[in-house]
Amino acid sequence: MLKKLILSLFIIGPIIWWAFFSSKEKAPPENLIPKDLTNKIEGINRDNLKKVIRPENQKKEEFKKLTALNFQPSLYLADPKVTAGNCRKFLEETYQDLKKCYKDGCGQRPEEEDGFYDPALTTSMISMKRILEVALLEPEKLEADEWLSLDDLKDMLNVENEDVRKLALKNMMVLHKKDPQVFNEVLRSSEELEGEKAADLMGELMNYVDKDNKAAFMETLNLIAKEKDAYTANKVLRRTQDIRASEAQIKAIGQDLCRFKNDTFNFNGLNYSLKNMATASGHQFSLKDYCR
Amino acid sequence: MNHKLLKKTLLATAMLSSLNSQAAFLSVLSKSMGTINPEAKISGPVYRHETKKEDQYGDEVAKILLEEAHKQAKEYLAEGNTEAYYAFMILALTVPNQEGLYVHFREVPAQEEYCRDKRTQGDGISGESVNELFKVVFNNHKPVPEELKDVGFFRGLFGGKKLKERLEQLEKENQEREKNGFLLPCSKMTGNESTYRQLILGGWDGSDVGMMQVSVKFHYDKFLKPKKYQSVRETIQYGLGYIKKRFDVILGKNTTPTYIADPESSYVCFTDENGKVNYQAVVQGSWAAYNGGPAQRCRFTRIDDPENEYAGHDKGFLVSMKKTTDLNKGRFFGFNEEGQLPLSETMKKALAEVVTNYEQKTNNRQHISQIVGE
Repeated sequence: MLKKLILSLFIIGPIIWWAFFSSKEKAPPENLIPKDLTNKIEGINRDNLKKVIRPENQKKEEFKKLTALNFQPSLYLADPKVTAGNCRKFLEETYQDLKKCYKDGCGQRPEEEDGFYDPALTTSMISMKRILEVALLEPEKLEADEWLSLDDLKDMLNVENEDVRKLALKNMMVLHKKDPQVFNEVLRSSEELEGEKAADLMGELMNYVDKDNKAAFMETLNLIAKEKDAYTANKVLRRTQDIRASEAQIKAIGQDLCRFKNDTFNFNGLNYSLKNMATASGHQFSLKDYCR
Repeated sequence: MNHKLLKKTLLATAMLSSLNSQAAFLSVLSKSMGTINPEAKISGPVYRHETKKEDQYGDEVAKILLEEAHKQAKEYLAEGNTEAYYAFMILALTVPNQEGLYVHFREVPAQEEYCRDKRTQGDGISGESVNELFKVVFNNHKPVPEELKDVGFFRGLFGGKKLKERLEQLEKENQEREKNGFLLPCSKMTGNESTYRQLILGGWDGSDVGMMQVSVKFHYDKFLKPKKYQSVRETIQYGLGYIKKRFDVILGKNTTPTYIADPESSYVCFTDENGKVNYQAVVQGSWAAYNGGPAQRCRFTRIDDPENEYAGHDKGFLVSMKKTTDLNKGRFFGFNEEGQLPLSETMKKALAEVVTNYEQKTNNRQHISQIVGE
């Protein structure tokens, strides 16, 4: 029995070895690279997502299409392979998975050659952007208001990718428009924001200002002028120049900005922004003269 | 230190620093060019080494740089922040030299020595998905479906015959589709061409595109998909827009007392000992952030640190910046003597005016205005 076993190993073994290695030799070189090494080599795109997206979703067509090179939100939702599945469930689950780590890149590492790393351009951030784009297109069909909460979207206003910030705001205003306080909720978010993030928020909110909420908007501008740093105030005012403020409102903002008159660079910028705001509103105003 | 990175840095530095002959300059370019399909449309100045003077290539490139930089930075002028304006102009004149030797497209005789099909087909790019992205964008390939990516491994072993056939079919289809790609290997040319037009594809593996060396890996949606690489102006516009964001943040935050007062602040590297803005540092930091990402903005301060893996990058940028700031001291416009780009007298004066204004904190625009159309 033992002799037969040994004999069969000597016969079968080489056959298996030949079948295995001869097929490997014919394979193109790139297919010989083990998957885990491929992950290390590229460290971007789909392979980064594979570390965070639940395994059962990674096999789905919804995942493949979401991460496709030629992704477009309208085409994604119209794709029969996507609509055949439960797209809503997939998007919600993928969103939940990404939410845990997208701000930090979900493990994506800097490029080996030059150390390049931009948190705004990671695969997880771009994927989050795509989810928001899709949600905005078909919010009711995807029941997006149930899984994109107001708090989650507010959190996105502070990320590094400007497209995600803008899409988050748009989703807030669309998905949660039934909430009468949504505009004020968004305005309050500005308290946590600085620089271009605050400017993006206030600039985008200009599209939703009406006679009922304009006073609150102006109050926030005042608050920013009073409490934020010069850089943030400058950026915000630059984006809200067309608000059509009264002379009194412009003076009130100016009053709060006089504290920056020794910060020559930013004060020059503030002077320019406020001057433009005044001009667009039919007034004249010089911050430099006002603060003398 | 990472040995692979060391080797790459040394080779890149050697390639760029040893350009002391025409053959060397053209040789470096040739190593970094992909060949454009004769049927493809491109727009903007094309570098032809022998006729660059008659083509007025230097003027065309400099004009685009000044115009696009002015569009980005003119608000600084309107504000009264003229130093910031000229610092950005210096940055805008330096980066395309540092990144792409002021070359985006070039035209060469249709000879074998100029063919680098490996670059044309992105074969130097090792990452599977980036390699695929390159081929989809530049070679008109169809993406390989997920289920076909492991076919070779299972070929003939576990009944993957159908998958193997589909993969072969796709490979054949992509071979055919390549004829309509933006880039075309020389082996697929008709043979009737007298010249080849080429696009610079730099970086170690050919994944950095054009005069601004925009990475294939990170700029698909806003640069590659809308095919901005087909235009010199749109490429410069895109690259300058990206770097301007870094510049704005550095400058805006740099002058904010909160950041200056905090010695731990990562913006403190942009002020001098008197707490005033150091515009040279702002220029260097903006490029460091462009090259390495936002968190690398102060990387240039460790230029002499032997532990700094990327010191060579910032040293190289400093050299390029000196080339720019020597434009008002009689230096030619261009990467080196052999790559110099002759300019008209108006353009020389305009560039000199930019540098003088930057150095002396003035705002004389007699010649600049003629170029940017004020």
